[in-house]
This record gives sequence, structure tokens and C-alpha cells, in this order.
Amino acid sequence: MLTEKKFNLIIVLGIFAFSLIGYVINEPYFITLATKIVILGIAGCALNLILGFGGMVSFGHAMFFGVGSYVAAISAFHSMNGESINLIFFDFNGSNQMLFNWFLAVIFSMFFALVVGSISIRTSGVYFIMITLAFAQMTYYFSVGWTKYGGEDGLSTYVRNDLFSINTMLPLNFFIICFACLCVVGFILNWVINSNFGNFLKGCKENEEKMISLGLNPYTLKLTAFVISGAITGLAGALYVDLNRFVSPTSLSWQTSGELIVLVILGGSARLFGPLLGAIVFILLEQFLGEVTENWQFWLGVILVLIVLYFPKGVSGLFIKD
Amino acid sequence: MAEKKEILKLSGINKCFGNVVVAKDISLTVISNQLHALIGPNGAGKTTLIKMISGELKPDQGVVMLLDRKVNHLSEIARVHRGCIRSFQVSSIIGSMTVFENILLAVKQKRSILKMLFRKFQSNSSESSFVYQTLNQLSLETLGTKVASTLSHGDKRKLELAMALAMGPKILLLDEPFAGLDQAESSKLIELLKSIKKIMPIFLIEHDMQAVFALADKISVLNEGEIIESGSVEKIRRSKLVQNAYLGGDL
Repeated sequence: MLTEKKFNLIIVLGIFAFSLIGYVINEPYFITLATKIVILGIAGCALNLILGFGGMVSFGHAMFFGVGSYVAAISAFHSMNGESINLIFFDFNGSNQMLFNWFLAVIFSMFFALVVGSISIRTSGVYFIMITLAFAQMTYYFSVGWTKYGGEDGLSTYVRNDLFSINTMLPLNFFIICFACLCVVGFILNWVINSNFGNFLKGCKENEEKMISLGLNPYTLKLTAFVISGAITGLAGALYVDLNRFVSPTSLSWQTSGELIVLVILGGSARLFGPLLGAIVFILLEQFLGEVTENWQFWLGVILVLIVLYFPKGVSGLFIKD
Repeated sequence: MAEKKEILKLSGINKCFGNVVVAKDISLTVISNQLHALIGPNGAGKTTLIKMISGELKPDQGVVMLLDRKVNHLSEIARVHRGCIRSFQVSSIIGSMTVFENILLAVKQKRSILKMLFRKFQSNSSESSFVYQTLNQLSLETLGTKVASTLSHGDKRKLELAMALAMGPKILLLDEPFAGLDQAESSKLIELLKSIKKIMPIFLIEHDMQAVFALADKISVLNEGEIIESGSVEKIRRSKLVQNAYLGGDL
């Protein structure tokens, strides 16, 4: 059994090694898989902040993922075709700079999380699940009807955005960019979880009444966590657009929200990088089980049922000692 | 002799749930260094009253004064910040954290969200010594590293009390702290509350009459939402009204 620190290190180095192997054997597909794992892992870890540590089961996190994706894609799209967006006070010409588009994605996702969270967090349990799902479905149907940006067919950005003078089209370069984001996000989430705030959030999950009797406002604590989670999920969405150079309403759909929850449950909700392990298991199952059978989701379902029944701490619970 | 100051004052409190009257013109006062006990049969409205004092419920009529200020309009959280700290009928602790961490939560509760985010959840030397001092006060010093959910029932009650004390209350509202304690644990808690009431007022709701008589400076008896008698331990012992309504015989 490992300590959590060692576990985190092994997981992160393992993903990096997997990508390097892909580079050495000249198999870019491996690098793309590793990049996808990293991006979904970031989104899963962000969801885990509110689900695992805050006890809020959001079934609408695809909304922040999709908003981040669309914002980054729209900015890149306008930069590419030279057509500006009229924003009343000024014309926005879009941007092909990754950092700027990440910034926009994070700001917009934060705003959405603030609005949705301020309403949703007034509820709890199944009502919270349903209200977050409803909000996400609203944005999904909006994107389906938004024909200016491809509607149901989605929007292509063709090339990746620029970051300094790095050639982002090279799979290994883009993987390293995403990997750096994962490290920064991991550091931020680790800080939040181990801060006073993180511990009061855990207290809210367990005993909200007690937190009130300590003079703390659970609503503010939960909303802050929700906004942080939404912002990081939005960043993951922006990275995902650069990976695929394409965004579609699927990124806002309830299936995507469900997949994010699956990552958390598979990997284990009690640990910082549990969902990252969840992303590894999920992507590898999708790829390798998918080659064996078309019905790989059926076997994923079986595995999920077994994990929920027999390993409530997820796959990470098998490796980390309490 | 130190001046007796009114810490908590209720005047004409009324509360109904639909047609059911749970508080009828309740007035009482808790003064400094006094343990005021509220007794009454099940369903008399004792916990509802503590909820109205703490701010969880608003009275339909009447005034709640805390340290000479009307607090009816204040939320439960705002009243906690004014020093009105309560414990619950069922032990209310954070089971997944250690005893030390539970008390540290109570010590760190006054921070703003930003300060909470940018500070690690760890104690500095003065906080550590304060936590250990609180643990010592409640004879929990050997249990600091124990996970709270693994404590015995009595120790959980003590931990909840320790959390309340660590917040520096102006008044303690205790809702049946003796519930489920054995004889030995009860005796220890009585001694502990005797020492606490010397430094802060306590408003105690309790069914354990032995504890109430050992601790109370003043007792009020609630029956069907109405205070039917109020006074010293001896007065309550002798009151025929109380015996008929609640105690069902001689004390």
C-alpha cells in the first residue's frame, strides 16, 4: 500500500512515461491518449472537489466543460476567419493565443458556475442533481440551435492555438502543455483541500448543521467550491478543444456529465487524484476493450457496479493506505 | 460581589406550528455565572425554544435579547458570532476528523473565506496550546489523535462541549447533554459544568433531574409551551403544580 503522495507521483509519472513511450516508438496515438487522459483527469479532479470533498453530486458539470470548450473554440474561430464579434462596447476579433483563450474559458465557466451554483446550492440531494442537469441541458439545447457556430454539427477550429513559440501541433508538445496544466491544477486543488476552507467544506459534507453552529455559512463555502470547480472544468474544456480542434454540443450533454461522474467513482472520490486514475481506467477500457467488443460500455457498467459494491473508495482505494 | 448582568432575556415569546401552540408567552432571563435549567415533559417545546434562542426558528411574537441587544432579526450564524453557542441533542461532531481537528475547526471558524482559502489547516503554537488546554479541561487530552467517530458516546458529548467552549461563548445553550451517559460519565459532566458555569452562563435543557438539581441556580418548568413555574431548586422541588404537571409525585 502507498501513501497518497507516492500514489499521486506514480500516477502522474506513469502518464508521462506512457506518452514518452509513444514518442520513442513513434506512436502519436499513445500521446493523444495520454493527453486525453490528462484533460479528462483535470475535469474529473475538479468535479471531485465538490462531489468527493463537498458532497455535491453535480450532474451538470458538462456545462462548464462545454462552456470552456465553446468559448475557446469561438475565440479561435473568429481569429481564424477574421470576422469580429460585436460586443456592444468593442469589437472582439478572437484570439489564437492559448493563454488568452484559457483565460476566457475560465472566466466564462466561473460566471456560469456562479449563476448556476447560486441557485442550485439552495437545494440538496436529488434536487441538486436534477437542477444541475436541467441547467446543463439548457445550454446543450442552446448550442444545438446555435447555427452560427455549427449547431448540431459542431464547430471546427482546424489548427491548435499558439503558446509562445511552441509548435503545439506536435502531439508531444501539446501533451506537455496539458501535463503542465495538470500539475498546476493538482497543486491548486491540493492546496484548497488542505486549507482551512477545504476542511470546513468536508465538515459541510458531513454535518452542515454543525458548521452553522460554528458560525459558518455552508452556502458560501459550497458556492466558492462550486465556482472553483467550474473554472477548472472550463479550463479542461478549452484544452479539449485544442486537442480535437473541434467542439460540438456533445461536450455539453448529460452523457459527458455522466462520464465525469464515472471518472470520480471509478478512481475514488476520497482522493485528490482518484479521478485521474479513473480517467486512465476509463480511457484504456474504452480503447482496448473497445477493440475486443462493440459493447464495451456494457462491461464498463459491470465494472462500475462491482466497484460501487465492493470498492467504495474506487480503484485508488486499492493502492492507498488510510 | 460581581454585578449580575442579564446575558439572555426572552420576553413574551409565542410560537405556533399551524394550530399547535409550542410557545405561549414565554419570558425568562439568564444572568451571568448562572446555570438556568429548563425542564418539562417530552413535547413541551423545550428544543423549539432553544431553536428560537439560537436563531434556527423565529418566534411569531416576542423579543429575544442577547447582551442587552434585540437579536430577533439576526440569523443563526450572526448570533453565533455574538457568542450564543449551542450543542445538540444528538452529538454533533465531524466524525471523519480527529478530536484535535474538530476543536481546531471551532478555533478557526472566525476567518473570512479568502483567509480560509489561503491558510493551511494547521495550528500555530498558540492555537495548539489553546486546543490542548481545552482538551485538558474536558479530560480528552489523551484522545487528541483519535478519529472522532470512534469515540465513546460520553467522549463525543465532551468533544461537542469542547468545540463549543473553544469558540469563546458568551452563553452556552446545552440541549440534553446528559442523554445516554452512564452514571460515572454523568458525574464527571456535572463536575465539569459546575466549573464552566463559574465563567459563563449556561442555559440547560435536561431530563436528568439528578443533574439538574445538582447544577441549576434557577429552574423553569415548561409544560405544553407555557412556563408553569420558575425559581430555585427548592421552590421547584416543593411546587405541587410542577409535581402534578410533570414529575408525577414527590421529589
